[in-house]
Amino acid sequence: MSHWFHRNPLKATEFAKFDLKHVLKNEHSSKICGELRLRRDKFLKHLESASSDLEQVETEFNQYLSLLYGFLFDITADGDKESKLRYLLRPTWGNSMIEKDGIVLSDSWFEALNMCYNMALWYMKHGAWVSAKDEVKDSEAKTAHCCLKKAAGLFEFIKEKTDLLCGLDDFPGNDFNMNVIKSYLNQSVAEAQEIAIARAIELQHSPSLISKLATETARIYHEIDTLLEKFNPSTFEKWRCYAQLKNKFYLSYAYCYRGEALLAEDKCGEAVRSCKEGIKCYKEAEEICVKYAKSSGPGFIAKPEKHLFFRRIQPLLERHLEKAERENGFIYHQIIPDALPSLEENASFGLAKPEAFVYPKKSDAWTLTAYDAFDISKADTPDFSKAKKSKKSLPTVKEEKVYQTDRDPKNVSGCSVM
Amino acid sequence: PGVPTGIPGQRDTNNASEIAVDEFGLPRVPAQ
Repeated sequence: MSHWFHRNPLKATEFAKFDLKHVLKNEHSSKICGELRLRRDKFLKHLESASSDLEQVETEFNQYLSLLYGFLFDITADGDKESKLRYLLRPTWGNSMIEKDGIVLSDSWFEALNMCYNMALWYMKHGAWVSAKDEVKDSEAKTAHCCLKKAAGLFEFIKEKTDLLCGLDDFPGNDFNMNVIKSYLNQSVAEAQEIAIARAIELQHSPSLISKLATETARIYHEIDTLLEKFNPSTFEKWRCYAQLKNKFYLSYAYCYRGEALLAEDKCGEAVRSCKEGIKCYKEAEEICVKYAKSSGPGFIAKPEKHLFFRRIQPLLERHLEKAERENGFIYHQIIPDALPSLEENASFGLAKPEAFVYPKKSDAWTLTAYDAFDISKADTPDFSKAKKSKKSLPTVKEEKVYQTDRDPKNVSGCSVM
Repeated sequence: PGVPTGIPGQRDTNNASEIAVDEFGLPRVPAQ
């Protein structure tokens, strides 16, 4: 699906030296810090391209987190006991939406959760890249679907851990605001369902199933729009417009397939009403597409109105409407109700569930000897204060432009992901 | 209704959890 998915920028960060000076007693601790520095830089470089190799990026992500493990958890104890090193690191991170302000927080969890965030954003970008090829194979559609579920799992993990971070409320619209996290989580789930909808159409599943799934997806997009409504419009307008247009678009799909299902049940009057509402929603989606293209805020813009999956719904609605009106005129003579036919939300199939993320196990480098080799009595007074604005502004991540096809797919759904 | 046909994915039961689904969570056999 070329230019189908809206993507926000990756989070910027300052180069981390892991320079703990006198805290490092010997080569065991120095080696861990040196390796963290190298691995962090290498991993972040790979994220700059959505087309980077999935397996390699996942391996590097897990290796970095397992090496960071000793800064989060006490190596000498089982379970989740806090590490003595937790407040020694002082990373600076930007935000995907409020890009210019870097935030400094002396907390290794701030580093870990930001890395998870960037990985989740990259999963979304990789999924979009896979789906934007000229021809998308079945296995690639699964990859895109899986990437979005993994992104959702990471956002869920971040959502559960965000309470650990202190003082971020002073930065409205920052990535750890609960509404921002939930929006990303919802977007990942909704987009995975979009792939399922396209597949359901392609495999000619029942109109009722497609309608229910489209209804549920439209509902999630509406929720995103609501979650983002209180933020600064000049920053969040574009993202909100994306959610609004997808909401209307999937409502048009929901009414279209509901109309088809009603027609099959000889409920022609209700089918006419459903198709008319579908056309209304489609027109509204078209209007929001225009607004979206001109809206302010960060993000790599989608062009949904140019996509066949978008364009095919209007003729389909008109065909169903024409058929319903014709049959009603000849045979049924039912009254067209004023009230809308209800859309069913209880989809039993195709709903996407986040793939749970589990923090990787500690690296082999974290032996008791290595943990002992960090002498925190030699540290500058640990900074337990809340998050602060960085004195330096962070440069935007130079994300590589990746190829997106402009060709129309040659299949039933008009969607290349299938 | 409720009588198993033995065909995976066939809508032969009211219990959705008993229907075989693919990687996208859709029934393996489209139910019309």
